[in-house]
Amino acid sequence: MKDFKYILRLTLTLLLITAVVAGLLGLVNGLTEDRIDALKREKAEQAMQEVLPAHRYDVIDFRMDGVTEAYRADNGGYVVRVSENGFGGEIDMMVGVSLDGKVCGVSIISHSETASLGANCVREDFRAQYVGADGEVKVNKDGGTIDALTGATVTSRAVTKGVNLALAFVKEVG
Amino acid sequence: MNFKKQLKEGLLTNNPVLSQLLGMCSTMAITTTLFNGIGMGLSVTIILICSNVVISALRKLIPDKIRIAAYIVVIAGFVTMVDLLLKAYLPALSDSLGVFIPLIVVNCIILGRAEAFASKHGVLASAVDGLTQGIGYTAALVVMCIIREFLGSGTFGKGVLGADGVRILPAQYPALLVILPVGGFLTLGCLIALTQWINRKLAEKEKEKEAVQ
Repeated sequence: MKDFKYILRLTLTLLLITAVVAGLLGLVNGLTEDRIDALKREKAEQAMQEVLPAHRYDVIDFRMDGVTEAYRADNGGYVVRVSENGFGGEIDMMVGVSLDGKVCGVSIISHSETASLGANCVREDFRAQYVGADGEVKVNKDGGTIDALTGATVTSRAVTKGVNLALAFVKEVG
Repeated sequence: MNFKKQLKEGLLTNNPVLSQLLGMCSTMAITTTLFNGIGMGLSVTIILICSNVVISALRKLIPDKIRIAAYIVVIAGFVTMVDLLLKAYLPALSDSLGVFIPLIVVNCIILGRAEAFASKHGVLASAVDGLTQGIGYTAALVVMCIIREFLGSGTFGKGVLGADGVRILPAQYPALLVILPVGGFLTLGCLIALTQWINRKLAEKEKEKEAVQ
């Protein structure tokens, strides 16, 4: 009987602590959820405007591995959101493709690459290299035209792969 | 309770990073820019104070057998709250630290202090311990960040003083190695040696004082 009481006490104490923590987490989640979602949407919309400015984007239903979202812009181009494995995790990016099948902009929405190395993939001069590309792009180490970031070949390859994926997607749809 | 003594312990003689060698993973991974160091240090300090206070308040209620489970639930709760709040109100910091904020749950400093201090002392003393240990952790991170950012990127205050910080060395001189994990280990090794040297000097001084008396 004594054992039973002790075990019951252990269980109830842990249950109580867990319940209180869960309640508090629910509260904080409720307070921050809307704001986090709004920030995410705003970020994605900003990226879309940056890679291919347009007034209206219509969702394309066609799905492909690695493509998380795709839109047809009212001026005939496409905006494709792709996710590729980088060095430190997923690189989430938006690629704009114009009506004639050329890349017109790349924007990195989120990444977890190393600061000062892979994190440089958000830099304008790196991303600008992809503008105008059609067909397969490669980094210079693989015999291509894209200057890989110093010390971050893996990151550069991942971004390049993402751009290729977006181009392939547009070819498939368009 | 002695704030000055606890602060000295947190900063030098019992520094979580440089003397206890806790929280190595985050120390290696994020100390590449000043912004990261300060952000991570403050996040850990806040979580450490909160978890120390709660665990100290509950110390007589929690049976010994389930204490680790109970501590982890409390710590994970605070870490998730901080993670959500950062995502909502400081998205730049949240993006920059990424997965290392949720990973504070398994940062040994928090559980280590809960086990070694908060479970044996009163609420106020535990809060002070959380603060001083947090300051020690932040100080160690900031020093590492400044050294690695200077030698590795040639800048100071990246993210704090403008997006690119203040450039000190021309872009072609910095050694990339220092930003990589290798550089983290080298920097940490030197800092640990320095801390040990200071600690020994301090101990010698104290002994001399006692001898005179």
